[in-house]
Amino acid sequence: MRTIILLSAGYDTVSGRPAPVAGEIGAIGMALALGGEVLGVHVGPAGPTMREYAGYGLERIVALGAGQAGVVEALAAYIRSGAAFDGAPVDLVLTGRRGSGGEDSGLFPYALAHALDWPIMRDIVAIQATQGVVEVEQALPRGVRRRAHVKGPCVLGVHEMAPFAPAFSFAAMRRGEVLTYGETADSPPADMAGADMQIRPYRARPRLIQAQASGTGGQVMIDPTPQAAAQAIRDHLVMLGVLQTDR
Amino acid sequence: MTRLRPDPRALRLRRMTAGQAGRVRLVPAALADRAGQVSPSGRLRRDPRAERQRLLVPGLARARLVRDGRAGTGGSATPVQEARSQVIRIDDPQCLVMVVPDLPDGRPGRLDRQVMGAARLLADAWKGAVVLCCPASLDSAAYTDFAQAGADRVLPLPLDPTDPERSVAAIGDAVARFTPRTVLFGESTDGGDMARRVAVATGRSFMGDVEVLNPRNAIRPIMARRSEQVASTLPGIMALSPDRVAPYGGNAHEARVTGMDGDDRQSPVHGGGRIRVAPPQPGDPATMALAEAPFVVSAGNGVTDFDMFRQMVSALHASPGGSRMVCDAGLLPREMQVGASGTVLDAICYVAMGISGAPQHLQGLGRVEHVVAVNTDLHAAMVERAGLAIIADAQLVMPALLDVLRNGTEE
Repeated sequence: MRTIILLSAGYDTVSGRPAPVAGEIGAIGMALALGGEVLGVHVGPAGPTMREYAGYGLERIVALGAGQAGVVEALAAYIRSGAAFDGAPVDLVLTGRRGSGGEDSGLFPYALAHALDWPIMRDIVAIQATQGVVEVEQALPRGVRRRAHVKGPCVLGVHEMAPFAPAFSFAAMRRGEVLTYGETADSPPADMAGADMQIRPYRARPRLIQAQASGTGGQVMIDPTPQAAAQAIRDHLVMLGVLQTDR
Repeated sequence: MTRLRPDPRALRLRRMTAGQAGRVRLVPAALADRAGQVSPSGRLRRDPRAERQRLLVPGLARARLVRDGRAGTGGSATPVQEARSQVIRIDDPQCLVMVVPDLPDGRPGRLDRQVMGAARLLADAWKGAVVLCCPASLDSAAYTDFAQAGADRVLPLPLDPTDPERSVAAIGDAVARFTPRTVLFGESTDGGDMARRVAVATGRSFMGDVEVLNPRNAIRPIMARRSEQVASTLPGIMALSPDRVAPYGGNAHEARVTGMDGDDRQSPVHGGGRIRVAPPQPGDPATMALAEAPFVVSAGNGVTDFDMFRQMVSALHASPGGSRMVCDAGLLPREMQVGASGTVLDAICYVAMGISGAPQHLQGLGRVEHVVAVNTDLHAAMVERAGLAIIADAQLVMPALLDVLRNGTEE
């Protein structure tokens, strides 16, 4: 299994300082659990954040220069070229759910999968790889899980609930090597502002509040017998639909 | 970043107006910018109806005004018309707004209705119509819900829940055929995924996590939520965050069923076949992370028999939780702590056994809809929060509940 992990130079949402992105740390953990060769790839200059990713157990990280090509095209060409694993093809690309500190749209893995013509799934919490087919488990809200079979090399987005977060170690950070590849001509960063796009400081806006079915305070039973209380709780839970009676 | 320095003297001069008897008045600073809404005498003109509308909570039979500035509609999506029975028809729309809802269990969910509300808002401003895409296998009984939610057209498509790539091909065909001005999705697990797939497949501009959406602009957070991006030309595909736009509350629309217009494109589905998705399975409540558990039963200081508590939790098929008190005492592991310093729940139902409900514990309940409390204190905060409150000793209710559950399953 040869896995590439997409790394981004993220920012901490609270402090605003450069920091690794949590979803990508989860992807590192998942790749290490899967075994095989693992390589971290970042398109852009090798900043100090890349070293921190190495501290989570990633031994090799490549900082890819996009040159004049677009970021997606450059990365797709790098993956196709086989330069990542000495000519051997890449089996898997793991990503976080979205970046943190750039455009944060979560579109990049999809654009990459489209450029490579690979299938893509996101919100993955477990992977099992057999010959040519990857069996994944996808997390849905409220603990619901969904299994899926994905054929061939694919792009997978790792969910935040994935139980693989590796521990940080300073020694691993010192040991890991960050290499550069391709021409690192400083291409200007993707222009998020434009004629019809404006960037301004974030303002938290109120959310709609949910219309409560009942007002404040519901049914109150004062000093019932334990049997009556138990029956009332059971009936209430059945009425709400959270307790199935046939199980 | 350089900022223009304010000139206090010029600002003061701008606020000055002629008062009575040759005296000079200073208009309050907040009013000086709104010259159009200020009467000649310098008084601010209020619009009491608009103010009330901004404070109103949508979707309630009785009017509820929220005055603390944290919530409210920010103006309802569409004014509610008088004649509720009249069905609105739009025969000749100038443009189309396409909506692809998630339809959990085959009917429009909460987020779907909000996305429809947003689509209605855009369509009304552009004199357009809302086209709703739904699976062709869907029961047509759901179409009345679509009409109520504000759909002008319903477009059944060969969407395949087992293969997202086939669904993308079908939606891509519909987008190519109808060329809607924008396509709206909900930013949910499936909706957000589908939106991004369609965006790269069709090559349209995309904006996800949209927090503000109106005909003039769309806003979403970027750079780790420290900045926001304002698009004054709405992108071709958008995914709307939950609880940001009010659902449509006006008359039902037509929800006329449309096809792909006779040219019998039984979609020679390109791509597909690479992903096979199995139907979703509910997780095991005993091992599930508390943050995603749908049904949590918690023990507080009123519970002393924890073997009994565990038996009751497994009989209820719930996830166990506890208050800080219990976890500090080592009676339950720390991962089970509910509250500000533990886990904030996303559950549907919460049963509190012997928990009075400290503010820090109630913070952990977050958006839980249904609460059941068993407590000896009638005046506890948890009793006030609960939909069903039992004023009794939790230690006595637990064996009785276990008994009722076991006898119930034997029947």
